[in-house]
Amino acid sequence: MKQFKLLVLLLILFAGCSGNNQKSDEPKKVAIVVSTLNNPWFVFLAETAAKKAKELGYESKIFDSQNNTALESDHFENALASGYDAILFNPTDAAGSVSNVEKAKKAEIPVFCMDREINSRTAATSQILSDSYSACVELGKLFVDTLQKKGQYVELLGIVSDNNTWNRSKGFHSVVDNFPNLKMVAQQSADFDRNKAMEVMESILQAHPQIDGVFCGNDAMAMGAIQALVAAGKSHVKVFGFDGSEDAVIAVSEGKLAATAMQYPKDIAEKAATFAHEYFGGKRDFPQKLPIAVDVVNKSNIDQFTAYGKKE
Amino acid sequence: MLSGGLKYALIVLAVGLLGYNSVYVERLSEYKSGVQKTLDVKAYAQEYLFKKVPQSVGKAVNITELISRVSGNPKAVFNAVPESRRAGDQLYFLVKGEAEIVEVAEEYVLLNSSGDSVKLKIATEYIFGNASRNAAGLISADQFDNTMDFNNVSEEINRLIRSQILPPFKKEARKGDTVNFIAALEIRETAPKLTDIELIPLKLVIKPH
Repeated sequence: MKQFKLLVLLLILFAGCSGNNQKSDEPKKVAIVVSTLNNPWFVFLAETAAKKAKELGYESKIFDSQNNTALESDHFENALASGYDAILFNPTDAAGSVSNVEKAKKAEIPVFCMDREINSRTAATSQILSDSYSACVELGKLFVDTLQKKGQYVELLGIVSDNNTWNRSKGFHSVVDNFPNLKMVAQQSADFDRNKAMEVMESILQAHPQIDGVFCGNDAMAMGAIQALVAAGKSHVKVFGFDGSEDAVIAVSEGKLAATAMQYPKDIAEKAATFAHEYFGGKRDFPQKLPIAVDVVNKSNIDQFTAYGKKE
Repeated sequence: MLSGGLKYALIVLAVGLLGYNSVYVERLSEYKSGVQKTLDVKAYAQEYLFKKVPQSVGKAVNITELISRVSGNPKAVFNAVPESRRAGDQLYFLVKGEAEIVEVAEEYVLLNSSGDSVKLKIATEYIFGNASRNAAGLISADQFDNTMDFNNVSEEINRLIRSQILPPFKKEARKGDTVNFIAALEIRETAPKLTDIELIPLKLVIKPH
């Protein structure tokens, strides 16, 4: 009897030790956790990642964090408990999302960040990030030329805890601040949100009715700002956005938006899914931060672009 | 009935397996590397621009030679650019050369280039972006916890170029002088523009006419 108990104990031990091994017949599962699905750009990012994962033979599910780190944390716990094998992740907060990624790392689940960054170079397996700073340097040069180096302008910032917000703002200011006749009369956050941007812009116009330009940290805010400006009879004001979303590309072609910066969410999402695929295949040496170039889009080159990318 | 020896061997194996799966060993050096101290951007940029870039002059490619190679077989040149000197479509080159100044304009100094079809300029007004940081291939995003620090390095290098390298050059440069330079060049892989080249200066030495 003693020997039987000992053998059972050993079998349990061996079973427990091999618990992390993959179930060989089932397709691997990929969780796609995105900051918000209330912005078409992120919907496109998530759906493209899901499509690519499916093409590569994996099951996937999209989780919406609704820009809430607590909800994002729940999604990570659910994904880990439900046996997902990789997470394609668009974080809500550069600092606040690090602990979620570390949790996944501890569970030996790779995390590939898409578009938004986390403040760590050890937690995620890789971070695929748009080069927002360089793009906003280019937008800044265009802004200076468009306003002919003089005038008053407003800046609408995105979510203040997101690094993209500051990389875009800093890239823009690294150029524009060198021109003393360009004066920023207001700088406020509108959380990357179209409706909030419209309200913020309406409020700013009360205090500063004479403005020549608006620089926005994303296209949703740019579209909100345009709505407020048109309602106030100031459609001559030059508005600049960032993202390359569908409505922004249309607005550039119609002359309502001076310029946007085309990020390539398709490239970012497909690269993240492909990295997960390579990870499953045994690859481990991924670049920690992989910058993806961004193109400035204005009336002069709009014929080369469509929503979320270049024309095929 | 198991013999006494086999019984103890199984117990030792069981304890060994339990122990192996209960303890996780991580190098302290790897653990520490995940914690970045506050970066002294000014000191970092100073060290890069005034020490590391001049030491890297051997890795710089002659600008005339680069133009010729890109004009002949751009794909071969671009494919050889390592990850540390590219950001997506943007490729960065550390270049060197010596040429006669043919015009001193408000925003640039025009140099005498070998080909009539090439306008070769040293930027003296618009010093922006990441070319100055990326050209030498010595600084990578992977070295920083966040890209804001990485971009702050570019801003500080550009500020040093504007405040320390350009003022004496702009004061002394005259038409007919020869300038010896190390510079950063940014080329778009999918749309290389070699007819109007603007270099971001990293080191400039004037040889008066």
